[in-house]
Amino acid sequence: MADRIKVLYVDDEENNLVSFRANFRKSYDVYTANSAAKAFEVLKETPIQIIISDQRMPDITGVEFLEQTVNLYPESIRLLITGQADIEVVIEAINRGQVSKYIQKPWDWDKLSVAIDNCVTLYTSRLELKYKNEELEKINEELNKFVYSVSHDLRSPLTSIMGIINLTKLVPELRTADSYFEMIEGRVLKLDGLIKKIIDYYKNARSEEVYDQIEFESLLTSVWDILRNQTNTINFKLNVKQEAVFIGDFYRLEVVFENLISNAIKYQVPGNPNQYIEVNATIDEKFARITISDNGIGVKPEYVESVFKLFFRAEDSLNIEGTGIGLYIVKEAVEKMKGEISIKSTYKSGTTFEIIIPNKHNL
Amino acid sequence: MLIDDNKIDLFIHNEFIRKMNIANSVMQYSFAKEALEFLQSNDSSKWPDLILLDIHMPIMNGFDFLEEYRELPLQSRQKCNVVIVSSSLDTGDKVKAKENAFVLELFEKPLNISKLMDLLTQNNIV
Repeated sequence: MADRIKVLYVDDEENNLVSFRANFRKSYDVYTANSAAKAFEVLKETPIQIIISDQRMPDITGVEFLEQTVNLYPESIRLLITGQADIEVVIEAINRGQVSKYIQKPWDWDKLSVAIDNCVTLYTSRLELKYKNEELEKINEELNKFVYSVSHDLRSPLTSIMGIINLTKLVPELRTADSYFEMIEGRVLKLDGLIKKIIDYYKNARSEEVYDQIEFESLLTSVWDILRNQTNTINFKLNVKQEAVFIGDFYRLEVVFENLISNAIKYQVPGNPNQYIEVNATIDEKFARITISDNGIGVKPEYVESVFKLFFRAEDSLNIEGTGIGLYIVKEAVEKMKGEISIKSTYKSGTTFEIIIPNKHNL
Repeated sequence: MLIDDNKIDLFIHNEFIRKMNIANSVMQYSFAKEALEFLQSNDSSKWPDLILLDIHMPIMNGFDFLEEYRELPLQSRQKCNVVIVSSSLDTGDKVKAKENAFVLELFEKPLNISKLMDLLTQNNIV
């Protein structure tokens, strides 16, 4: 610390003030006051880091005085000097956080000096923590901007390419090149999907949680609305029984449902005339229980344990576009919401995911 | 009226509108400020029925544009519809766009021609 620490000592005995000043003026900038009223005048003029007060004063006790400074000067460290008789009051004041330290009478200069040193350490470490927190917040905010601007700059040319491919579909002379355009489109969609997944991962990794009231019927319907144009053969069944107000993290739930339903679409048995996805949700005061079932290709028993691992792809899924990130993000998101996810799968006949998320309502 | 700093996207959207055969004329602007100046200096007879607006643009972005747009005469605004077309993945952007009273709809790029068509028919714009 470049600046000297400023210490204010409040005591109604002039003699104590004089000797205090004499003892500590070399180490600190010392301010003294012989009453609470004078002390407040000093505090108003000068930012004081450490406030020391005697407990026994005629118009006000030390604890009462220090209590009044808490809201006005929350960053200061408060030290109380008191005799044996007032010990109960001190314990209560410390427990209520109004006083950080106290020393008992009779005291000597060495004891007081150590106590003030401790206060200084407490003050500087709190200050350092505050700076570090501010710095972290700033870095976090910059990272946020960075991620979104990079993702936008990466996606922007991709969406242009997709737009041009869509245009070619309207030009009859280009029909002969359709298969080439489809290949380009496939690769572009894959890259775009990867960027979206990275953003999902980032959104989920952030610590902040945002709670909203969740209507599962409309959330699941809107997720299906986004995904439905990837298929025109799947029968989507949605049964929601919401018996209670549910408070939860909207974006994480959205990420979870989007990934699971999009997987259920991708891993269908091609050509099966009875393809279906069934979503059942039951919501009560304590939990939301959601199952997402399909009659798709299923997962081989030996792979079931591994599906939630980052970048894991089952060998027989390799001909289906995927990144190996989706289920990892799903699991992370569910765990962040303090929930549970499990998978039951029968190879070649279908997969069911069950998710249980605690309700934050009334917590 | 198309507002997008990306020339290719302007071209794509213009081609779409042309092939959908829904517009007598299309105005294209790379800078939202110039588009705004046009709207400010013309009465409602010259106004477009539809504005496709990008969000991320230099100098004046889509949200800045909408802030200024609200100051324009109500009579002109009533005949005009704003649709946002963006490649932003920022949920904050999406929420902000949906909450804005002047925004009829938000579409992700690439613009899906049949979705746009559905929206325009549902709202009796074409």
